Amino acid sequence: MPRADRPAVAIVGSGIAGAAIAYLLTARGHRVEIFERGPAYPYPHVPQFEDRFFHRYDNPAYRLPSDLQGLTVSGTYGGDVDHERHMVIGGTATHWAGITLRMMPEDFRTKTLYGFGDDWPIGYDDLEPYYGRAEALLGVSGTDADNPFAPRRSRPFPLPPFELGYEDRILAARLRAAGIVLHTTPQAATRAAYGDRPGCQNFGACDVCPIGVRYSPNYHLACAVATGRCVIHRETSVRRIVAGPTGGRAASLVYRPNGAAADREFRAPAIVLAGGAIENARLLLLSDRDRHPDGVPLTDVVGRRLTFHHLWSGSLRYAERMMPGRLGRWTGQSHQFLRPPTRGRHGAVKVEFSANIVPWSEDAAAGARSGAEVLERFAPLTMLRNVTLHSETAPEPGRTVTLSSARDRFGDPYAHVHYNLSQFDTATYAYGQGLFDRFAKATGAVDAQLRGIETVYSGGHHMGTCRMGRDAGDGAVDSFGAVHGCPNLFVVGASIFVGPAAVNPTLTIVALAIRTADYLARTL
Amino acid sequence: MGRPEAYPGLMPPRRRLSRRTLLGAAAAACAAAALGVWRWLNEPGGPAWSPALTATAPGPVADATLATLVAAARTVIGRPIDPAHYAEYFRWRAEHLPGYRTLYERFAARIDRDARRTAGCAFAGCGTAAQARVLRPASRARAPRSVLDAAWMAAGGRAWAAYDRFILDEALALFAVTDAWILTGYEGWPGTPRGLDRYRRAPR
Repeated sequence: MPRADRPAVAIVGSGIAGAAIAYLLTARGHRVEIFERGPAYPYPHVPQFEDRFFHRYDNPAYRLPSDLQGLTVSGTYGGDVDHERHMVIGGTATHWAGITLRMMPEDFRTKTLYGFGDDWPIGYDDLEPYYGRAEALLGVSGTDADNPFAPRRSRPFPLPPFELGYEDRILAARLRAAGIVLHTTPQAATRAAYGDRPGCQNFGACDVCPIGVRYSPNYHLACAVATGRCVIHRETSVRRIVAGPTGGRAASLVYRPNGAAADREFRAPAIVLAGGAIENARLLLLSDRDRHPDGVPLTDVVGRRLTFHHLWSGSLRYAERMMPGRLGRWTGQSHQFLRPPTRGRHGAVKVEFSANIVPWSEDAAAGARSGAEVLERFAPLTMLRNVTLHSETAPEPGRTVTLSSARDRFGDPYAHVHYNLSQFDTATYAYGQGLFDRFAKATGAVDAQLRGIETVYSGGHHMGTCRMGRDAGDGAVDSFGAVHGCPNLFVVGASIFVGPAAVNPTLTIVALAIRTADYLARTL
Repeated sequence: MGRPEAYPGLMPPRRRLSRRTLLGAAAAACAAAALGVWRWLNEPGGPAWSPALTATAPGPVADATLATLVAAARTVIGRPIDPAHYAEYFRWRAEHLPGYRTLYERFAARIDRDARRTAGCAFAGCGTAAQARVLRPASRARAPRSVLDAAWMAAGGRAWAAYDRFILDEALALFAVTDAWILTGYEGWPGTPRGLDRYRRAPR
């Protein structure tokens, strides 16, 4: 049967992983249908850009009602987990920074090498070609020439890097004198024209880039739709997966348009869950055979080892003007501490200088009575640099996604997230604080303030919950994302990570999604 | 049965309140009222602090109204600004968000009327000092601290709280993310294309 006449693959979630799979499958002639609970989100993001920068308007059209997006939480994590997720067409990566880093080879073998976490069933060498393809897919600008800690690569970056800014170069020179390397940041933003995406013009509005420089999944969703082989069901909630009569395969999904009164069923030869670590686990738990006779057989791995990327922010104040924010994008960071000799007693840390001071300048107006007051508050910001410590944590079974007693519009339980910091995290924070102090001293900061351990933030990077493993006792899925015991049901995204890393997870998400798309294309 | 007064034996003996008791009761009532007003004034999110927009229909506003709004923004900011994006900001909100058009029209009419009464000119045509005088009630509405302020708010001053929050505050917020960047030494503000060369050179 010609591919275009075959039943469509169902993809649940239109974020960066779902969009990549939709794009790659439709490009090879397959049909897909995407089910996205959230609303439309225009691309290029011109309306969002104008709302934010010209109209200063938080458009409710881009938010789900609270009876459709929600979760309950327990534990010590203080962030707003629910709203770290953007449930719109394109998903959370419609708002991301665009930083695209490869994990280190050691990150896949932390148990063997450092005695914490677990080893992945695949290694860096397995994923390396897919990293290269992911960089090509997203249009990554970068270089390893200034980064002696970068893992090996088999193909160059598609685009040249965003160079360090004037002030970054000053800081880099001071750090170099102290034995620390500050280098450029690979990122999915087009430094120069790339295909039909233009080169960066430095609007400084990266999360709503009006010209599509910063990669947005909506770009590839539009490409997929343009083939005529991709249908997107927006504002549609998938309620559960139904197994076939023999129980060993997924047969269909049950869904309901958000405003409809009755469920519908969609039969598919393969179903891909791409809704993020929390919603993927929730949907699997909602589909468990223990809840429905025609449900999916699950192991108790599902929902366990929820893992956040751990970010702590601080600020360094200098005697001279640093003028952060002249480039909207990120520039300098250091990967020197991704493989510290003491790793295992604590996690690795990436140190990142951020240039985004737009929120700070917005704060300068709060309570001000005149332009002079605004300027008085703004001036000190020019002497600051924001530093963020990105760290890894050790996955723990006690950090979980389960089903909540609270229910959504359709009566389905929301996810319940339980997350605590561990002693490993306390040790990692202490290590990071030491690095922060070193950076402060080496760069001549006159004041250094690192926020407390309790301010840890996930960066919207939620991982684990359906981790990959060699068998059902070890993981929920295999290394291609196929659910153990249900080989045509796939999970993609950071859900299937075995462990986190100190680096941002998105490039790894896309590399794994490409690998899954290849596998699907071969086996469909 | 007739009225109780017709049967004096059924009525309790009538007691006369002394003047002292009456004065004491009145003083207690006043103190309670003042305490209530004080709490009302200081309650975070209370009515004094939460002016709300009336959800009237959006729509276009006259150029003269926009000019008055921009002049008010210029007055409260008190620093050189590029007026074009303030005008665009006000125009968009009037045309798209419920309540803004009506608020803008009332505000412009009010400050024009006050300017004509106190300085003999339309607001946009007045001098800076006269404009600042006309806008002074906004500060009073923002932070009412006395019973007199509360009485003024109750007598119509609350409209100024809305003008302050939804017009003057917003103008300052817009300033913070635009012109303030230029005045602080940046070559451009976020939202404008700034190119990829200047950020690598020393700041001006």
